[in-house]
Amino acid sequence: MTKGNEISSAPANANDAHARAVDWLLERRDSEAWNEQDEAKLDAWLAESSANLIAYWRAESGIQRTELLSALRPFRSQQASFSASRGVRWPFSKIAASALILALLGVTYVYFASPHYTTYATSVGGHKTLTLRDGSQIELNTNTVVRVAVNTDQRNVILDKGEAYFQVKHNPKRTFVVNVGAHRITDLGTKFLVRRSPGKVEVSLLEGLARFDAERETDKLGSLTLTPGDVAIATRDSLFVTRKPTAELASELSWRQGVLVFRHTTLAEAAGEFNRYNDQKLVIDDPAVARLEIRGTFRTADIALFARIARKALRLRLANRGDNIVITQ
Amino acid sequence: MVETPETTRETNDPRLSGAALSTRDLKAWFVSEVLPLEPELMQFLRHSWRHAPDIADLRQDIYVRVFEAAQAQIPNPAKPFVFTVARNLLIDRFRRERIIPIDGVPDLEEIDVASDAPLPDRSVIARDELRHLQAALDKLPPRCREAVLLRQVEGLTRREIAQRMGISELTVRAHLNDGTKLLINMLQDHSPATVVTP
Repeated sequence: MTKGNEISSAPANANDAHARAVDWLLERRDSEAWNEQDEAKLDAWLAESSANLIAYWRAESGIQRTELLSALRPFRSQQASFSASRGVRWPFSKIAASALILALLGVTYVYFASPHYTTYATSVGGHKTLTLRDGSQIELNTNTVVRVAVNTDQRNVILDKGEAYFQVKHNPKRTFVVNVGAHRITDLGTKFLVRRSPGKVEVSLLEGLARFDAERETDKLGSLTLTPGDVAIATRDSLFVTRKPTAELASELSWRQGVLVFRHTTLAEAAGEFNRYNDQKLVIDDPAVARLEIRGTFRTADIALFARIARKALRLRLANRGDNIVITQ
Repeated sequence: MVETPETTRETNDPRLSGAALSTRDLKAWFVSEVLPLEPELMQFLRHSWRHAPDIADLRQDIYVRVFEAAQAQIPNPAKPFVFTVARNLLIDRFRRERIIPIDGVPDLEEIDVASDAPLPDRSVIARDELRHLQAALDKLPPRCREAVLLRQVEGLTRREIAQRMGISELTVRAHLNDGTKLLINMLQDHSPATVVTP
């Protein structure tokens, strides 16, 4: 194509330079066979003209902007009872699917021979599902410790730390009770999420009913019957309930599929969430940065990608402090 | 700094050795100060130059002139400089082509290069960027889009994408190439109207 040259003093047509630049970038990124000779050829091409060099920079910065795409990752909510990680829907029957997925997740099947408590734990970034013999399931999120004891008339769980999602097969003759510190949640036919953080216990009810008895050291703080959409928050000396739309509750459970969903989340909150799942931590010292709001969906392990996207989309700076990533203006 | 190893590359252009500025500095400046002006620059070019197929070449020539001037000294602020280069280049072209633009040249003089509107709220920028990215993606041909999503979102390799889509790796490569070319133009230019199919 020489038409461009009549009106252009540049040696190469801009569209050709762009096409070549993208070829080089993708080949370098995607090809398993990329080697030093290729690298040398690329250097030679870049040195040929300023137009080539600039086309390459321009394409490279464009490709980096597409990194934001990972935030567009569709989040499939919990409505379908089992969908595997990576968003693949399984075309099997529910039973076959659950068996397969439990196997994939490396699930521990728990059989209770004695009424003694057995301890189950996940590490930072971990995820584990316990299935009781009656079919009830306890799904542990990152950095969580539970103790479980089952006998003929009671099923008892103690949440020592972290977060767990309970899907209880209701049995009036065999109560299902979750103890969190002094507080107690009693199943009345239900699915609920319990999260314990320092000084705070949060119970979100997704289906059915549950009773929440909040206790202080010495006396009762209050007792509530939770209905779907209720989120009860007990601190050391207060108890209150808010309601959340189903979609928002579903995104609080997105960790079950290994992703974090943010909607109007501050950077500080998002960083806090990532830090729960990763040994590498995000640090935000600047309050103005901490208040910035974001939206998006990320894999829980993608902490470095999240930081890069924050840098690009919010025009922030990143620095390494030890293993951690510091985000500043 | 945390960087993407796969797409980041430091260029060592021998022509620049000994210059006051390293290629690295020049690149950082160009990417952060000049490229973000592209939507405005393209709007200006489209408005001033009626023959649409020339626009990409005009943009390239402006970038080359800006870059070569910056090798001696980085103009600060960048924006008035870039638009001055753009205006001079257009005037050269008008003279050479003996074209008298129907709208006349006044536009070239009137463009307010000095104004630097305050940046919108950053969360707005991020939302806008995401929306824009989504819109750009929606404009890709379906197979291209699928390949780009599998690569960028799911992080699959060419081979895995080939298996998933039931096509050859060569075809995957072509889809990724085509899709990325279009996407970059849409993103950098910020205006889907100028998508140029290579």
